[in-house]
Parts: sequence; structure tokens; C-alpha cells
Amino acid sequence: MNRLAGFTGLPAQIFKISFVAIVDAVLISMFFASTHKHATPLAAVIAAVLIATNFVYFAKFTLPFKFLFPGLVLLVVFVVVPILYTVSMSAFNYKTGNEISKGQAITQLLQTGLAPDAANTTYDMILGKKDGNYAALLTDQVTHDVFIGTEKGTTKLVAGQFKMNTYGIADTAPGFHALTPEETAGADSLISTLKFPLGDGSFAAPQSADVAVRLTQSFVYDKATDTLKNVSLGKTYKDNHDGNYANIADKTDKLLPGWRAFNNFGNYIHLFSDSTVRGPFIGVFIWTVSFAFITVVMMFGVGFLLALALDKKLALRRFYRSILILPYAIPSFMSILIWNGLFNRQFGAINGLFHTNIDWFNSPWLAKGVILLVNLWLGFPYFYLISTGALQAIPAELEEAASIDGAKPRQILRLIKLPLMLQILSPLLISSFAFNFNNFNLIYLLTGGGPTDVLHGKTAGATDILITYTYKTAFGSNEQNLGLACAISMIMFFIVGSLSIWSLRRSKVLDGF
Amino acid sequence: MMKKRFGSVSVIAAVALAASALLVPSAHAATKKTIVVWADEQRGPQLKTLIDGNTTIAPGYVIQVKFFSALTALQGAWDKATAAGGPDVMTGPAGMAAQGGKSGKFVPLPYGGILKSQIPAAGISAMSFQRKIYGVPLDVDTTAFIWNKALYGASAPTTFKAMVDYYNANKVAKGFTGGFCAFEGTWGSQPVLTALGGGAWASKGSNANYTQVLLNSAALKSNIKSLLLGADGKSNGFFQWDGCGDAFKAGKIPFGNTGAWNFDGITKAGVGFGIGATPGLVAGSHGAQWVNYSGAYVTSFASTHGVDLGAKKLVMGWFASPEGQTAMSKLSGRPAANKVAAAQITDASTLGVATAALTGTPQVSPVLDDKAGGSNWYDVLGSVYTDIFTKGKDVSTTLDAAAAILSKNFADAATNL
Repeated sequence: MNRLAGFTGLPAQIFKISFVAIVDAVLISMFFASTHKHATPLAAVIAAVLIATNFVYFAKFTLPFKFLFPGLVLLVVFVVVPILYTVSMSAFNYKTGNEISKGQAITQLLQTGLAPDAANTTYDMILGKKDGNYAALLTDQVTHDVFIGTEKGTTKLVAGQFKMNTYGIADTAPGFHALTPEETAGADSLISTLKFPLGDGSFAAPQSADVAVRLTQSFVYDKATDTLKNVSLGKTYKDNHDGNYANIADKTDKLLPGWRAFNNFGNYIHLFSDSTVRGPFIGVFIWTVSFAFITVVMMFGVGFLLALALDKKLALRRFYRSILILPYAIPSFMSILIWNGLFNRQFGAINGLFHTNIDWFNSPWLAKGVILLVNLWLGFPYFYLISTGALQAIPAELEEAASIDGAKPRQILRLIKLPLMLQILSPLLISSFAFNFNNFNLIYLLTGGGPTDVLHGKTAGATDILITYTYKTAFGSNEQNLGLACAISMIMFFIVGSLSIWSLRRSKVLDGF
Repeated sequence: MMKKRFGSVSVIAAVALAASALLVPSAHAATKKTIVVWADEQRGPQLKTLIDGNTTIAPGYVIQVKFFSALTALQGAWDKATAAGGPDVMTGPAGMAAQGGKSGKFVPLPYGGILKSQIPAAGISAMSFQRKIYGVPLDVDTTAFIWNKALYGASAPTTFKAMVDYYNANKVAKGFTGGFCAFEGTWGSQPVLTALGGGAWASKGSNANYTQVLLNSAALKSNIKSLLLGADGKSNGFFQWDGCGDAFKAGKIPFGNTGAWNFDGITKAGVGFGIGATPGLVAGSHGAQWVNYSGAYVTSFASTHGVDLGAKKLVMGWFASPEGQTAMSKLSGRPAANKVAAAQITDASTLGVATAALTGTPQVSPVLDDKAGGSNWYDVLGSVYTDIFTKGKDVSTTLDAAAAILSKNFADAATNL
């Protein structure tokens, strides 16, 4: 019972406890680091994993789970959680200007509603306590007037009521006890919210441990009605349920920052209803499907033909086979960058070799051709290898029987070998299609998605595929739209998933499972 | 009996672990409050040298500098940053101010009177979004005109035409692959556009007039045709903007425009160069390069981390101060933004760039980055250059199409300034 390859008894128990102890130590450390950073959801996940780990490895009835558990945790953390996060974010108005929570947005709006006076009155400040409450000795940097401020009000001090230090800053007054730097740092969150009223609606607010400025609050938040009022302009802003406070008299007048707000299918609707987004999306979608399909056909075609050629006994066959897999052995990003250089109009070897001056990357069709060519170079060795393996897996008797029945070599290839090959290689062709559907590196490193006919209103590049278009939408400029990018990702997920399931069912390769 | 003992061992181990875990929060509590500063690979090493581990700039706090391998890496991390792992103080280009203000990731910084008098108005403008200031300008981020002294001589060319004539006369003999290299692409090409009577927008006095796009001005159209194109309407090869830096370093391009960050590399390549302002159409006139600032910003995460006051003290009291900026400028070779610190510059290269900056145009990032018309200034300009100089398309038609997009961008952006 409970034996694993003869590793039982006390050594096994010590090993188990040591293993779990190390895992626990790491998780506990991560838990406290997360709570220290106020990352509550992450801390909750870590706590759940910690409890589950101990339960699985110390309970007696969870033997199979002991082996599955690490894999399951990694699957959940690195696959399921990102997918769920993408799904959830696709239903949010999540873009530049709508990134933080509503509570944080209100705090920020109240901060942006703080206006300094015309003279930018600034005070050198000594923080302390008076009668047990926070107080500040404020020395006006220009007039050198001295005040003592508490949250109840501010009083001007006259000579004799305070003492100045060598820098001309008041630091001592009767009943006032200065805080040490450590005490100030320890109460940072509290002190940064202090306001010392100056009597005319304005107040002195600490801006650091030793400086305060005179400010007026122009925004007032009414929690009961969830409205923000700009008291200086007389405007009222209400939650527009799309992540912003909007002026009730003019809904286009929105306050920034907004917050990450749930908008249901808003991003999907935006994707198909807004012509500036829909137009590029459809063009990019067509090219993505075409690129993935053509590239798989080309790679398979070349790989298969080479496999057929080298299936015969040839002189130097081993050498050819070694040479053919070289492109596969070089890291693809290096190959792509090298090809990028080779096709450079001014300095590239291709133009140099043929004495041409072709601008390969600035013509949409040439750029697409370059992409297909380079991807063929990168991918044919893979199909050559798997085709070679598949050819060798086809029983020689089939070919012999067909020959005896009078079949010509072409007929054997078309009617026997190719159908069998396609049956065997279907899953790999489908996975290759899915891979190329999302082949970010190739596009990004080779053409950057370009050329983009900007001057004719195009916003997507001629060689952009959905994944690069999504990346540009999410991170490509100062204005990011992560919610929309998530919606596009979801569409890609469903397209690739549906095509894969449909193709696998048609090929019946899963019938045996 | 054995099983019972194993069970006890497990329980003891678990209890010991729980007890050890309690040490973790107390260890956290024992440390000083840390202000985390993020920087790119340009300023990060300097900040590491100057302030990492410092406990005196913001007493009660300790400063920790984390720098990234490149500006793109920094921006990538910043895009994804949340309160959980984000910085308390961020350094980066001025364009971040608008983005951070809009997203609520930066907090507004009310300037005191003294500080306001030390920072140039253009610097404050660069740090602003919707009339709020979100950062302090650290250093001037701009370019200067440079020329290869061994090729052209010790004196700078006096007019743009003088450069073109020199290029045409020596192109074959000296194997030039171009005449003028804008090292930083479309951004670095601004002095060429302005020298030829174009640019982004017009100005009324010291105020920008975003309703008047200058990219399709009659002067620019005419000067591109006469100075940058040949008789056949194709590029004469003088103007280069895409990956031409190595050619300048190899002596294959005599003139260029770049920033202090490239001076060291050019010197190491053995090129002796002069620094000045890009010559204009007539002697004494000059092109105006973009003048931008890098900034330091307090994030809204600082408040969550309980270091808001300390972060503001660091930014307003050191990053913005003459002392802090002088120390940074000495290490980086970039002119300081603070006027008091800038007046103390003695290094010739830094002084050259600072002087060139005086002829520049403030780079208003929210306007240049706006893409209400479809694409932003930089992308539009890239297409313009490709269409005119690579594809040989008609100058007027191309510039008019670009201006139509830019006028929408500028009008949209102006409402948010």
C-alpha cells in the first residue's frame, strides 16, 4: 500500500514532509508578499493552493491526485486563469482612461479637483501633534508668515509664539510636538489626507513630509446620489454606467480618469458596428485565414515532395537530409531578422544580387509574398520530417499490391499515399494552421504588420494578422484598448477552436480515443 | 505505532512552518518604507548610482531604483502595472504624463511658487494634461544638427541649399549614400521639415495654433521639389530617415540630426563632428527640432503603498531640484530642465544640445499622438516619406492627404489639452 517504486517507510515520509515544507515555505512567502502589496485576489489563490497542497499530500485517500496535482495547478494558473481573465475583460470597458477601480477613480477625480491659488502659495511645513491631534507649523515660503494648522483650523502666529530654525522655518511653538521622520513615514497614508483649513474655503494640504500648498477643492462627491459636482463651474456629473462620470447636461463631457466598467457585449458590438474598427478587422481576418491556409499548404507541399524525393535511394541522401533540416535548427527569430535584412531595399542582399531596387516591404503584395516565402523556409523542414516518418509508416505491401494491379506511380501517390498521409498528418496540419493563425513573431519581426496605407485612412497593415492587430490595439500606441483586444482574442479563440474541432471530426483521428 | 509517529511528525512540521511564516510579516514590518522608482536603461544606471538605497532625501523612507533593459520594456511593464507590483515613482518621456493623467495612474502635483519659477513653461506644459501638472521635467530630450568636420570642414553650412549642393557635388566622388541623416526617424526629421517651411502646426506668438497644419504648406511643397527631389521627381538621395546612423558613422553621410545619446557612439566611430542648429533657407535661419522633456511622476500606487508623501518628497524635492538635476546631467550628458541647474552646465556637448534646444519647438505629445484622423503624426509622416521619397508619388497630393488626417488629430487633441 502507498508504495512508489519501493520508496516507502521513513525515508519516503521524510522526503514527503521536506517536499511539502519547501512548497509551503514558498507559498507562505508569496502569500505575505501578496498581502503586503495589497493583491488580495492573488493572495486568496495562493492560500487556496497552499491548503489544497497540504490536503492532497497529507490525506490518505488522495493517492492519484498526488500525481495529478502539480500539473493541474500549473494548468489552472497558466491556462485556465488567463483564458477566464480574457473572457471577463472582453466584457469590460477597459482602455486608457478606464483602467482603475471606481473607488480609485473617485479619489483621483477629487485630487484633480484640487486647485492651487493664483500665487501658488507654498508652505515649509513641520508636522507634529498638538493636544494629541495632528498639526503643522506652516511657514509661507514668500511672506514668511507662520501659521499653526490643525484639522479644525489655522491660526497665524506672531513673533514670540514660535521659534525658527537655521533655514528660517518655524519649528517650535508652545504645545506643538514635532514628529520624527520615521513617525511621519509610518503615518504617511493618514498624513497625506490631512487638510488644514485656511478659513476662506481653501486649505493647506501636505505634499510631502515638509511641504504643504494652499489648495481649493472644486469637486465635491455626493455618495448618496453618486454624483460629482464641480462647485466652481456649477456642473454635475453622474455615473454613465460605461466607466465615466458624465455631465448630466452634456453626456459627451466626461471626467477622466474613468474606471474599468462592465459593459456586457459592448466591445463585441463596437467591433462589428464601428466602421473604423470593423473595416480593418474584416480585412485582417481574411488575410489571416488566407495566410494560415496558404502557408500550411505550401509547407506541406514542399515538405512532402522533398520527403518523396529522398524516400528513394540516392547518393548523398544523408547529407541532403541533414541540410534540409538546418532551417529548423536555427532559432526562428534569428532567421526572420536575417531575412528582414536580406530583403532590405537599400542594403539587402536580394536586391544586391539581382541588381534591383525593389521595395519589398512597402508594397502590400510583395510584403505578403515575402512573408509566405520566409514562412515556407522556416516551416518546410518540419513537414519534411513528419512526411518522411509518415511515408515510412505506410505499409510497403499496399504499394506492391497496387503495382501488381497495374497502378502507375502517380496513381499510387494520388490514390494511396496522399490520402493515407493526410489521414495520418491531419492533426499536425490542423495544429500548424492554428499556430500560423497566431504566428505573431513572423509578422512582427519581418514586416511589423506593414505596409499601412495611412494616407488613405488605413489603420491596419497589409500583412497584419489578427494577433498582431490585437497587439497593436492593446499595446501599439499610447491609447490602448485592452477590452477590445480581449474581445478580438475571444473571436480568434473560437475561430481556431471551431476549425480545429471540425477538422479533427472530419479526419476521424479522434475516433480511437 | 509507526503511522502514529509519522502523523505526529507531519503535524509538528506543519506547525513549525506556520510559526516560521509568522516571521515573514514581522520581517516586512521591521524594514523602512520603500519608495520604488522605475527607470529605463538610460537613466536607470545613473539613478542607481545617485539615489538607490538613499535614506536622507526622504527621511523615514528608503529609495529603491529598478531599471529596465530598454524604454520599450519600461513602458511595457508600466502598461501592465497595478498597485500590486507597480512603482511609486516613474520616470519616462513626457508623453507618459497625458497617458498617466488620463488613466489615473499618476497623481497631479501642485507646484510651489519657487519650483514653478525654476521650471520652463514648455516643461510644465509637457507635463500637463487637462490643465493639471502630473510630473516634473527632468532633462531636455532633444536633438541637434551635426556635421562631419573631416568631410565638410570646421564651419557649419549656412543654408540648407549649401548642404544639398555639397552633397550633389561630392556624391559620387566620396561615395555618399545620403546627405542628411535624421537618426531618430520621423521624430528626428522635424528640423528638416521646419527648415523647409513646413512642420506640424503654426504658432501665434508663443502659442501653438493647432487649427493650422503646416505639413502641406506651399513653401514645404516647393522646397521639397527643389531641394530633395531630382529633375525626374524622384528622391535625390539627400534626405535619409530610416536606419542611416551607421552610414553617418562610416562617413557616407556628411550631415545629420541626433541627440546626446548618440554622440559617444559617433565619437567612438572616429567621426569628428560639430554641433549646431539645422541651417534654414537663408543664412541665419534655422530648422526647429522637437524639444521634449523626460519626467518624473508620482503614481497613484504610492498612496496604496503608504509612501505618497515620501514619493512626492523625492520627486518635488530631489528630481525637480537644481541639485538633483545637476547630478543627473553630469552623468547623462543631457541638459537639465531646471533653469538653475541648466545654468550650471559646463560640458561642451551638453551645452551644444542645450543651445540647440533654444531654437526648438515644444513637442506636445497628446497632439502628436492623437489619431482621431486614423493615424498619429509619426505614422502619417512615415507614410509621407515613403510615398514621396521611396515611391516617388506626387508631393502636393501626398502632403494634402496627410494634412487632412492631421487636422482632425490636432482639432481632437486640442480639446483635451
